[in-house]
Amino acid sequence: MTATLEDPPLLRLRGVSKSFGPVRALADVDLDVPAAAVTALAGDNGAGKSTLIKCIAGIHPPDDGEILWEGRPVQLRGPADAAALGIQTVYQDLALCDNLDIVQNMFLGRERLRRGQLDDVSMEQAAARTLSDLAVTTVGSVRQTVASLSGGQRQSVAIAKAVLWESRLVVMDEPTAALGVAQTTMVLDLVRTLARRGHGVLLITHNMLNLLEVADRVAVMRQGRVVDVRDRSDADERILVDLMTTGRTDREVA
Amino acid sequence: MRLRRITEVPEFGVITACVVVFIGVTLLKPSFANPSNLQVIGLDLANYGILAIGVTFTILTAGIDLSPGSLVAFTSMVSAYANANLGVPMLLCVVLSIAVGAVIGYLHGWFITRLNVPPFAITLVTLTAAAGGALALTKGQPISGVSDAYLTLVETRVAGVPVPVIVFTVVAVGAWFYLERTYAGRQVYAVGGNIEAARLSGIPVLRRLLFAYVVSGACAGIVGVLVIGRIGVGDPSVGSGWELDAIAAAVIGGVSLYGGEGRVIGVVAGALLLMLINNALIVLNVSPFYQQVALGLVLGVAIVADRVRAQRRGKPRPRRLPRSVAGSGSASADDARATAATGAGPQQG
Repeated sequence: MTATLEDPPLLRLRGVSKSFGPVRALADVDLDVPAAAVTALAGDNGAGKSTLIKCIAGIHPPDDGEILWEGRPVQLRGPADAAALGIQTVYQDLALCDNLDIVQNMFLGRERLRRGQLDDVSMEQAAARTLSDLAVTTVGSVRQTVASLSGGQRQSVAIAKAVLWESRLVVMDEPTAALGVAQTTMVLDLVRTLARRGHGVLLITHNMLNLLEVADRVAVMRQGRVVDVRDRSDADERILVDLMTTGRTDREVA
Repeated sequence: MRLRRITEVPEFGVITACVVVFIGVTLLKPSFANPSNLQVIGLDLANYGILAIGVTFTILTAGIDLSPGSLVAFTSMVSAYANANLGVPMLLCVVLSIAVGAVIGYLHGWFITRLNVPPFAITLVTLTAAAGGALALTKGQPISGVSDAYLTLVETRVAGVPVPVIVFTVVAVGAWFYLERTYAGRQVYAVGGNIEAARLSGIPVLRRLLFAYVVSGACAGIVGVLVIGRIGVGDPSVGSGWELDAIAAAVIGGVSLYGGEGRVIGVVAGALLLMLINNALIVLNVSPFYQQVALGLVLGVAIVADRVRAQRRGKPRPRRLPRSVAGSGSASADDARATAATGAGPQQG
């Protein structure tokens, strides 16, 4: 799992810092996000998790530090820069339009055209294919409006939307926050599917059980710093709580 | 099954109502369906229909435009003034009228997108100011002596169809094509449905909003030309209250005031229904006072029908104020984002 010089990770952050006025939201953050694995970002409220993923999504360009994409330094000045590299973000508040159907949402902002007009047939086929590739089978018709979907289905559509764009790295902010048990399982399965298909996944979650269930690696943030990165096998709930609250731990996995 | 699918088309109700009213009134009073009366309905439909389509663009973005009525007065006075008093050729005056409408629409869009002024408020300013401007131009006097070309434009019939009706058809088909067949049109719906999602999807949200208000202003400019031909003079008091009829036509046609829902075909049917009822009440010798009541009732039925339809689809519309009244809300979303970004929020800094 450790990246070597010959094999740079998909995304590497070096010394990334970000301040909002007097508030130091990120201080000297180092983090590697490999492909084909789920990297979970843990931390208490205000630890800087959301700021970090917004730096990666291009919404808040960092003040300082370096972002390397497959080993090459890159500048992320806006969401379009991130999207061009293959970084797609699934936001906590679900950036979907209730009044549009699933296909329209998945192609929002990147509609396919044929002779200058919307190519609805091709978009519908591509959307249906992506959903079935991801084993999202619970949505009935891809032509129903997003308003008629359950929370888990909406989350699946949001994730499928990210995947549709040949994304290499999918960033997710609390994808299971508002979901019931069955729907959470559905979304976590989908997260695993993404990693199995070779996508890098960076996941923020508050739910320790979900995190331990789905992650390959865990990075813990505290007061704007990444205080620890370890493999899933070296982490359990108590260790993570120690790291989140004090920044260090003496425990071993039981 | 087939029939069921037809009744589920959102515009089914309003189109059926058009047919029922037309047949019903014709049975009561056959002169209703005379070609000359149909032409009168067509001329009214052109005026209100074009305004309704323009205002629909703004409502689809979850905005509103209250200025079209006053803009009709203002643009027609500018056009008539340039033509009769300054001797500008009629064709140029037509362009001038539409351009003035479009520029004022652009200003609406500018204030809404740059200063985050609620659409309701900024277009209310124009509702008042443009009506005043139309009166101020000639101290309230109508402008006579406009070119006969205005009258010719309105009175010419192509195969019995008045030219304004053809203009209306062109505007409607253009609007339909833009809204349903182009990516920019689809993005207008996205902006009206969830402006934050639209922004995150990389849609040029501000440009789409701005364009909607330009369209609405330009539509008022077109109607400004048509009314000169209809009356034969530049009349500064024309158009008063028309914005409400235009908005009513859009709502009757299934356009949701919360944004993001409604189609051009419905708006056309909504405007047609209003004009049919209007004309029917005159033909049937109903007192003008009751005409207002009848139109209000139709609007009420349309709004209730919209709610019922929304609930049947299992989609309770949000109980918040439409963005047209409450402002675009982007400022508060930015605040929320900043708070989330700093984690604990500024008070902990």
